[in-house]
Amino acid sequence: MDFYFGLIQLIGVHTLLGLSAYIVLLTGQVSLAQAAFYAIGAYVSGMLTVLAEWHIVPALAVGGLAGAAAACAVGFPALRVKGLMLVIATLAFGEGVRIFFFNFDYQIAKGDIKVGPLGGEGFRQIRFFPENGWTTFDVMLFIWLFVVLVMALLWWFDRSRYGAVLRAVGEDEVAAQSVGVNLTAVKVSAMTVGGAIAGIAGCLYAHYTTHIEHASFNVLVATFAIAYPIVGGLQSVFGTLAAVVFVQGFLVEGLRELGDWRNLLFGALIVLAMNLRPQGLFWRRGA
Amino acid sequence: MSAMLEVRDLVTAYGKIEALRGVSLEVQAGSITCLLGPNGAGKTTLMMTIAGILRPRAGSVRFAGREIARRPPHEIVGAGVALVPENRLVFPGMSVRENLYAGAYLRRDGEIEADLERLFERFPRLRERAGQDAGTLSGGEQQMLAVARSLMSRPKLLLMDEPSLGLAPLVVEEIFRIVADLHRDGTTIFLVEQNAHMALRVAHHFYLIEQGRITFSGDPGSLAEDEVIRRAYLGSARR
Repeated sequence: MDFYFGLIQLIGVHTLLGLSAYIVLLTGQVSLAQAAFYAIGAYVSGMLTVLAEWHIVPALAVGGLAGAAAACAVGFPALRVKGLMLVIATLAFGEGVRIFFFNFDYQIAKGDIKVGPLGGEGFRQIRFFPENGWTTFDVMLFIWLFVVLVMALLWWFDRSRYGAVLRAVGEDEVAAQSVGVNLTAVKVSAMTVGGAIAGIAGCLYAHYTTHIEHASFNVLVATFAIAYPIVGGLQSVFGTLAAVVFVQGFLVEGLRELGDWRNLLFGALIVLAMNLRPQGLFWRRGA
Repeated sequence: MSAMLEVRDLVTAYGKIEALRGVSLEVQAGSITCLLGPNGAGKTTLMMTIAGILRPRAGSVRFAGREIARRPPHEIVGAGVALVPENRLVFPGMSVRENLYAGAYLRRDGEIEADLERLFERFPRLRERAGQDAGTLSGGEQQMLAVARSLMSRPKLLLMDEPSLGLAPLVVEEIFRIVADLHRDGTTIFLVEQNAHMALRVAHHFYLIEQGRITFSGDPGSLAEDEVIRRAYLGSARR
């Protein structure tokens, strides 16, 4: 049973990661930096619960804020460039953050062992949940509490005036400017909210796996983050959830018996899904 | 009449290429002023610069006595200048109604619904299609939507960039009827056109722009129409 709880946890965390890219994609921007905000949230909150012995809830809040702050700081210079240039700029930032954590040591002694991030070996023993007697089921519920919360907020946001503004920028920047939309403010806000969501996802990830390292935040993770909302479709937040279930639940876990052939089929099925449903697995209106 | 818009020695460049090489012109309050010129003369660049979407390298743009050059576009819209961009640029994936609300983006007053209703009265076709995606409208309907969207910001000055572009002659007639109606209701209009014949029928004053410079200014009738048309399409440079 724990295997399924674990899978559901993973799906929850990846849904948040996908949603962090979803809101940025609505403005027409492709960011490969989401894995970096995810890493920052993971390391910051992990250090707070392990080294400073905070409770998970304030650590999660600070992790989210750290992700948001990093995204806002990246947003200003990065969003001055567009399209492929932005992809490269955010990729560079993402890799920079990963290399930072590859080299980052900050350990303190705790009883007989030393805890804290240790460069390439990663950050082990993020044991807030087991130390406080949380079962896998409890952790799963905790993660999904945030998934539901973030999805509900984004769903509401999407239907509000602000969501319309984001989509307007994504559809046509000149038209958006000519009705008086401040492009920089809109793009940086979307990036900041996306950074907060990625930071929260990173915190949840760090605490349920208990061990993180730089490789958990590589460009593949960043690619997954933008692939979910694209495969799922930008019509609704449910598309992102459907894509994560499809990719993680079906393609990665469901095809596990196929062994090494899985990865080949995995790529082919994503291509097939995007051809059969170019507007995403979920869509609101006809093609 | 006083000048609502005063452009002085405006220079806008794309890299090293100067698209506007010192443009000066005026738009009188309550007038329809038209800018004619061949492709590549700088008409759209001028409109985008006045709207703040492009930043000028030099020169000034004064609107109602206030300098607006180099201000961001949202401030310029807020000051009362609305651009109907070339090629209409409606939001294709948003409904007609959502496009209209987008036009009222900067407004915080309580009369948005009433204005929407008035626009639906003026453009009954838009009411019929209110829930439809703007991308599914015909070219003429999209142009009406783009005009209606910009009116939702309650502009004092409406900049229209080639509203007749790519439209059938009957639809062009309709668009120019709308221009005349808007003017009658008190909106000052600065219009870029290639359709010199139609433009000269509604304009009070016109300018010719060629290769980034104003080469003629006058009232319709001050230059023979065939000469205007020749220069508007071909430019005056003899090759």
